[in-house]
Order: sequence, then C-alpha cells, then structure tokens
Amino acid sequence: MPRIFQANMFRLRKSRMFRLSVIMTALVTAAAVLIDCLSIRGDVSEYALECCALSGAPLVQIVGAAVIILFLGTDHSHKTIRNKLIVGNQRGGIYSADVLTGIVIGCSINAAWLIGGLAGVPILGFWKMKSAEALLYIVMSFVGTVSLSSVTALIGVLMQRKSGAAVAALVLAFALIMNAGAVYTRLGDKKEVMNGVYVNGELTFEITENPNYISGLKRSAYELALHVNPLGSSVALSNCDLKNPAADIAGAAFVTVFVSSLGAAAFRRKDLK
Amino acid sequence: MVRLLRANFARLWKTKSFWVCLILAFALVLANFLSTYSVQPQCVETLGTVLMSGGSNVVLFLSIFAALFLGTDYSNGTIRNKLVIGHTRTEIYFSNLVTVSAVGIIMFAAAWSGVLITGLCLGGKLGMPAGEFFMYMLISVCAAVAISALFNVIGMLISSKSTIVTITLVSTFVLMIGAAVIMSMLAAPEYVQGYEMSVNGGVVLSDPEPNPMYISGVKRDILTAVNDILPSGQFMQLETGSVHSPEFMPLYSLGVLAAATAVGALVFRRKDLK
Repeated sequence: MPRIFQANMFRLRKSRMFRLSVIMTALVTAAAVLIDCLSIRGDVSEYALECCALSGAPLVQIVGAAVIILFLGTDHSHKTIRNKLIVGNQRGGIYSADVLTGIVIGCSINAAWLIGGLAGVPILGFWKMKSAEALLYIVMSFVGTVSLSSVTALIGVLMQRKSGAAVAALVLAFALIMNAGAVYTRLGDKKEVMNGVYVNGELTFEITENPNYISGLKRSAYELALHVNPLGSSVALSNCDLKNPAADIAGAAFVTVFVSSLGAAAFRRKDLK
Repeated sequence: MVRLLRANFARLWKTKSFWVCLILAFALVLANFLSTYSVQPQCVETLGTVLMSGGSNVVLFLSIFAALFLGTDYSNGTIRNKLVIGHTRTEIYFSNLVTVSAVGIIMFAAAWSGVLITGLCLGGKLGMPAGEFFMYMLISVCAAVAISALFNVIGMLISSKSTIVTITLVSTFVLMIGAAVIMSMLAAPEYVQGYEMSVNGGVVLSDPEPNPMYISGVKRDILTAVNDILPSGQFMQLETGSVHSPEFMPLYSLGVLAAATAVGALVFRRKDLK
C-alpha cells in the first residue's frame, strides 16, 4: 500500500487538473470574500470575517468530490488497476491507497478554500471567534471533507466508467447538500414564537408554541441524520452554527470507517474486466 | 445537416441515458407535486403555478443527459467520422445543439403533462389567465433552449467525456444555487419593522428602520439584470412566482442562445480534434 500511495502522490503532484483546481478554489474564494466584504454598509467592526469565509463550505466539498472522481477514475480508464494487481499489489492495498489519495485531494482543496478566505483580513481583520473555537471550526471542515472523500473514493473505485462515476458522485453530493439543508432548517425552528394580536385595537404580543417545532424521538432522528450526513457539518459551518461538534466527528468517523470497509469488501469481489 | 439530425435522433431513441433521465425527471416533478398536494390540497386550484415549479429538476437531468450524449461523440471518435464523410464543423455543432434543445423541450413537455393530467384528475384548474400561462410556458421553453446552448458549448469544446460531465454538472449547480442566492438577496425588504418596550412593559411597534441587508442602486440593477438574463434566474423566478419582466425574458434567452452558439461554433471550428 505505501508504494501505491507514493505513486498516487507522485501522479497527483504532476496532475495539472489538481493544481488548477487548488489554485482556482483559492482565487474564487478570495474574490467572493472580497466582494462580500466590500459590499458591507455601515460599521465593518460589527461583521466577522468567518461568516463570509465559511459560507461556501458545502460548495467546496462538491469541487473536492469532482476532482477526486476525475483523478481516481483515470485508474480504470487507463487500465492501471490491472497493472497494479499484476505486479503483486493486493486489492485491499489498492483500495486503501485510493481512499487516502482521495482524502489528500479533498483536504488540499479544503485548505485552499480556507487560505482564500483570508483575503478579507485587511478589511474585517482576523476571525473574531476565540482561538479554540476557530481551531474547532477548521478541524470540523477537514472532518467533513474526510467523510465525503471516502464516499467519493468508493464511487470512483467501484464504477469503471469515469463519466458514470462523475454523474453518480456529483448527484449524490448535491442530494446530500439538499438533504442537509432541509434537515438543518427544520431543526432550526424555534420552540416558541412571538405572535402579534390586536386586542381592543391595540397590538400586543404573546408567546405561543411553534406547531412546526420538532421534539422527542423525531428530533433525535433528524439530528442523527444531520450528524451522519457527510455534508451535514458543512451546512452548520456555513452558518457559523456548530452545535454538537463531538457528534459530528463521531458521525463522520462512522461514515468513513463503514463506507471504506464496504468499499474494500466490494472491490475485492469486483470483476475487473 | 438533416442527415446528422436524423442520425442523432436515431441514436437518441436507443440511448439508455435519455430514457433514464426522461423517466427520472418526470417522476421527480410528479413526486414533488404529489408531496405538495398531500400537505396543501388546495394547490390544485393553481395548477399553472405548480407546473412552473419543476424547472430546476428537469434542468438537472437535462444537464446529465447532454453531458453523456455529447461526450460519447468524442469518446467513440464519431466526430472525426462525421468530418471524414464531408460534414462541416458548423453542421455538426448545430445538429448537436438542435438535438439537445429538442430533448430539453421533450423533458419539460413530459414533466408538465404528468403534473397537468394528475392535477386535472384531482379536480384542479389552471388558476391563472390562459395568456399568462402560455407566456410562462414560452419563457420556460426559451430558457430550456438557452441552457441547452450553454451545455452544448461545454460538450463540444471539451474532449474528455468525464470532464464534460463534471463541468456541466458543477456549472448547473452553480447556476441554480447562484440564482437562489440572488433571489434571496433581492427579496430583502427595504425597511424592517422595529419593536420597542413601552413604559408599561408591553411591546409596541416603532418606526420602520432601513434594512442594512437591502441592496439598492447599481448593484440592485446589476443583480436584477443577471437574474433576468440567465436561464437559471428565469427558472427560479418562475418557481417562486415572482417573474420580473416576462415580456423580455424570451428575448434574453434568445440572446444567451445566440451568444453561446456564436462563441461555441467559432471556437469549435478552430479546435484541434486529436
């Protein structure tokens, strides 16, 4: 496995597509953050850079997934997988090396995104949150990336057709974002809401229970769905609203281990035509 | 070019991805309608509005089909064969454009038919003047053709099928999400209602205050123009029922079609087909 991983890293360093993706991610993020910062009206000290910089978290994951699929799909299209088996490598080793490579690609794109987000420092200053909290947010961005990268690597290695793998990975990433966004919105409903009512011609406000508020077992199920979704933490990050990072880390770890094990088992039995 | 079109359509009916994307688009739009009906049965009273709300789903499957269909020409070496037997690059470009546009119209027609027939069986009605409904249909069709032109540019200028798929899908996501973001930015009200505590402890309304999130001036004009011109913005306006300038939208779509096709055809004529 170490030799295959080294070979993958060597190919990655020379890959024009990968270098272009990293550079473009940093540049586009920097441009978007600068446009956001320059359009702020009023006192800029009321705004925090992290709110602008983290807002693109889900989109960056999609870019990472696309690059992983294009890179790993080349192994099938160029018949390199069969060559790797012929020289004596095990299928498990090949799969593990590809998963690690996918994680490196995802984390590189993620790092480029975070660096691009610093373009707003001259206008808004550094992140306003405490250092420990900022570090937690940065770690969580990488945790989500690792989880999605393992899912993308599974698709890239198991599907022989590169174009089919690209469709499957991107549509899945989009569906995961939509699901995470919908669940996050439902969980964000407040327990009580303030309603204005007219009493004797005067407007008064009363606090009533929100009928849309989810509680009990249903709420736990929604929270589990968000923690297990590889893009669930990205949606929370984009809103600077990480509520339960420990659960997000546990969910990402479970998805990574489960998907990687499943992928390795499926790849061992796959007929490599 | 007629022979190219005949060949494309003959291939189309045998292409698995076409039928899969068509069926999935039809099913997803119908499922969304039935899901809305289960929560709001009165939605059948405004079938016209409901029909317009499935544009994004159809565009997603159209992008998948266009990428796979156009990418196959390169991966199978068919483009070179077409040139060898005497077809010009312009003919090849336009025949693919017409094919993808036709598929877009077919997908929209299938999705609309499913919802319309189901809605009418549930006792629904259009809920809007016929003229307005046909205008919205025209806007959808023109936007579908315009976005097909954008997919055609990507599909004809990139030689790798997987790269075509990736760039087409990512572009579709960016366009749709961008349109949603622009709509939400433009929807921010100019003033927000203020609240203050009165002397006897109650909450009373204060004078409305300017909303710091409200976009005005040149920036608003630019965002409105972008939202009206881009096909994704038009689909988003149709879905939310807040169409800004319906009489100009088909013209904007034709403009996008003309610009994209001109650029794409010119570059394709000079492209090195390895």
